Amino acid sequence: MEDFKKSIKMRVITGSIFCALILIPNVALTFFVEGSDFTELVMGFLLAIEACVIVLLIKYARTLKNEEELKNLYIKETDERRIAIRTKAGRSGLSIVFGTLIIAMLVSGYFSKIVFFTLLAVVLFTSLVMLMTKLYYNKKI
Amino acid sequence: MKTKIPELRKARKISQEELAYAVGVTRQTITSIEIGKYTASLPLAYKIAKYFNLSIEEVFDFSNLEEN
Repeated sequence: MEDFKKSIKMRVITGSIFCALILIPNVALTFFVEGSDFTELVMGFLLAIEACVIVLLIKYARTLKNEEELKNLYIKETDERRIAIRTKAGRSGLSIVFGTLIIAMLVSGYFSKIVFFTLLAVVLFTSLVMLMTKLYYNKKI
Repeated sequence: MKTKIPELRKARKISQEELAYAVGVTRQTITSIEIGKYTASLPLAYKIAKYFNLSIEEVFDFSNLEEN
């Protein structure tokens, strides 16, 4: 449980750093970039991310103060069924995304060269990541 | 996989929530194991059996594995 407590503390620290880092582009967009619909969209997006991270930080900070809540969170995060669901959902989700990308790439080939090569690059990059992670876990497990 | 967890719980008047908390999983996991939708890992099966002071074979039915 102490290791889990440490990992939650680490999450709070990295989350706080992340929040501070997100503020920099937001301030830059507010004071140094001429306002447009697009910059406002980016600022809104950054603020939404920041709000989500702050909510998580508050949740973790509260959890750290309460041993009961800490154990409940530990159970929730280490529950083997949840881990199995995440693994299966991730695997099938990736397969669907990969299949869709290939179909989109083939269809786009008839209309636009740029889109075709962009999607080809995405497919190749995804394949490379899949291969590398497979090799990593093959050695690890 | 069939399991005797519901009977054992009822005999000892233990709720799914209590068992789940004691063995360190969520209540949904215990529900899924009881209805046979999810097969417990060996460490979890061991923890559940130990909680009831029984052996793994006394809690879980492995007969369908033996048939294969």
